[in-house]
Amino acid sequence: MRKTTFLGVIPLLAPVQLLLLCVVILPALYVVWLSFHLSSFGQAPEFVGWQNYLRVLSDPAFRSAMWNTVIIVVVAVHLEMLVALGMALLCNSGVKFRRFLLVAVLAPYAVSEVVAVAMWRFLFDLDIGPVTLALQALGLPVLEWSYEPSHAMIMIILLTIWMHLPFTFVILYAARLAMPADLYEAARIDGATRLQCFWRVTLPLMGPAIIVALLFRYIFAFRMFSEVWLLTGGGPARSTEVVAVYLYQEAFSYNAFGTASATALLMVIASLVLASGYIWLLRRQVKNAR
Amino acid sequence: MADLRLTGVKKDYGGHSVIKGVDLEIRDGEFVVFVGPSGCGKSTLLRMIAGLEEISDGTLDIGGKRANDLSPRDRGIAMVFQSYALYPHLTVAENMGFGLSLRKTPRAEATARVARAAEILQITHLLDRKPSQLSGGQRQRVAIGRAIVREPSVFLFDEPLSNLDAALRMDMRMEIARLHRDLGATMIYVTHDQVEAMTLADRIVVLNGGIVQQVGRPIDLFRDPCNAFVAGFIGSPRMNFLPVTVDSLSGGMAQVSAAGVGPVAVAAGRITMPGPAILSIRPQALKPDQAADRSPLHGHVVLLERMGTETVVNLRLHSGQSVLAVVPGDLELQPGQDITFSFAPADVRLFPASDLPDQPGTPH
Repeated sequence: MRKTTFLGVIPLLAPVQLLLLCVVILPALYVVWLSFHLSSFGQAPEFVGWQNYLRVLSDPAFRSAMWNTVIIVVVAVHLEMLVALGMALLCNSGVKFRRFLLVAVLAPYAVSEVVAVAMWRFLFDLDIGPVTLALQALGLPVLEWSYEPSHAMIMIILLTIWMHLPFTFVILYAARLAMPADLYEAARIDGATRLQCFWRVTLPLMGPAIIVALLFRYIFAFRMFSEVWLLTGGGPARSTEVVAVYLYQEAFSYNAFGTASATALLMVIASLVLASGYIWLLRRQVKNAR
Repeated sequence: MADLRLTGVKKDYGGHSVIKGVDLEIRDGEFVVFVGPSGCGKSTLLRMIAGLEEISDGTLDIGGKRANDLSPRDRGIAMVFQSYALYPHLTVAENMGFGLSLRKTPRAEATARVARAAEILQITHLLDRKPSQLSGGQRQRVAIGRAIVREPSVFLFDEPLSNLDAALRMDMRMEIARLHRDLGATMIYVTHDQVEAMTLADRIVVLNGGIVQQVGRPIDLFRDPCNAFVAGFIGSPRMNFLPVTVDSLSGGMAQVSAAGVGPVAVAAGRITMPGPAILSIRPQALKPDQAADRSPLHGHVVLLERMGTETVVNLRLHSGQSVLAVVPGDLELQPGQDITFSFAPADVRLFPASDLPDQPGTPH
């Protein structure tokens, strides 16, 4: 085989590195620079130090947006994980209509986010929505999501779980499919009940897949935008705003690019803090698996 | 310790019959090997004894107790899988003690039992490793250790050595034989390797097409196979089958002949009427000489396999039939050379032609 040197490889890597530099690294550096400047249309950026960060952090709207984001991330991602795990195990258990189940779980990925939100708005419409009418017919409380903030949050959580279930499901289902059947036969002969099989064999072996799925979903959920923007627009009265919506408002409604950039960096830090526990777990598991 | 009794045991998969009625008694402490070609139902039968497959019909008694509906853990069995089936996230010690921890055995006792089993198998130094850090042979030892720790009354082995290389297979074979001697437990062992069957078994059960063909001591099966299938399956290289015609029968002897064979009088066996039959001759029963009391086979050498201790001669008879002969020592022969082998009438068996519907004119 021909010996490859570092210098010989650089020209081959350069196009990709250049692309990454242009679309990721330079913009990111620009955002960092911008976050320390007062900037708007038709105005030369003016250095203001940490003032943008202080303004954002002391803004009650930001704090409420951050709080909403954390609630949605923590509740939605974990609920979604439980549902996906249940579905993955169900699909693998030799249940009837497995193909139908698979299609039902995966279908949301085939629907564009905008269409999905429009669909849900119609389904849960307070006057003519089929789901609302069905809930009423059964004498159950309806989701008054267009004017009741807590109901709107529930609606956003349900929507985001439904929309992203395919992602989590596919990762977990693949992990479950990859587990050899004779492991379970050995466990049965060792005397494990179904519940013991789950706790002592399935869960530990699916651990890495679960954590990878959780990590990705934390990151995706933290930058959630379209569900909220299209469903409630952050309303009523900014009560369901999430950080990404706050950022959008700052940047494109108020043209305050400095504070928008500061918000973006705060999002990065917050999601890192939230995900760090899982990153630590993942590193430990990878080390254990060796 | 326990004896097993299978009575009319059957297995159907949606109308497709895999085990077609097996009656078998396995005594306490016996080493029984199920042997047969792929798809003969030997693994299915073992899994039915383990409780991993339901029994469609018939009864299975373990230790005098009906076990058809018992769950695997209540049958007092332990099983060693071909793929080892070790839990990859647990250490060797945890793998071996898994069953004990499920039953909440006190920690001190569990540790002692694992240590004892590890000592028997000489894997004490591996106890803290993960399965991924072990070689194939070591993994199989751990799998056997996991079975020992449970102190079962019946050990079940499902082709445990198939994934190992030849040298290791021989070592592990001896290890399992030693284990059986030391533990004195009932062992049922599934394999398609007749060397394993011959060397390990107290008794061999030959299966084909979901039916027990013959049950007996290895040497009895070798010397006195009850049909052409068993004759062809036990022994290596494979038995030679020659199509012959039975001309007459008298006093338990049959006068047979074919192109290039006989006429010669051999034991009639199951033959009751003159007509076509199969004459089976072990390759080792053919000798390159022509004593007066032996019957000759004339042909020419097609291929020679010189193994040093023995020579495998592939020869073609004048009738066009291929025959294998195994001769001790290194034989000075050339391919193409004409040669006459001979057999003693007492060394051959006669089977009905119906035993081999697709008459194998050519062995192998």
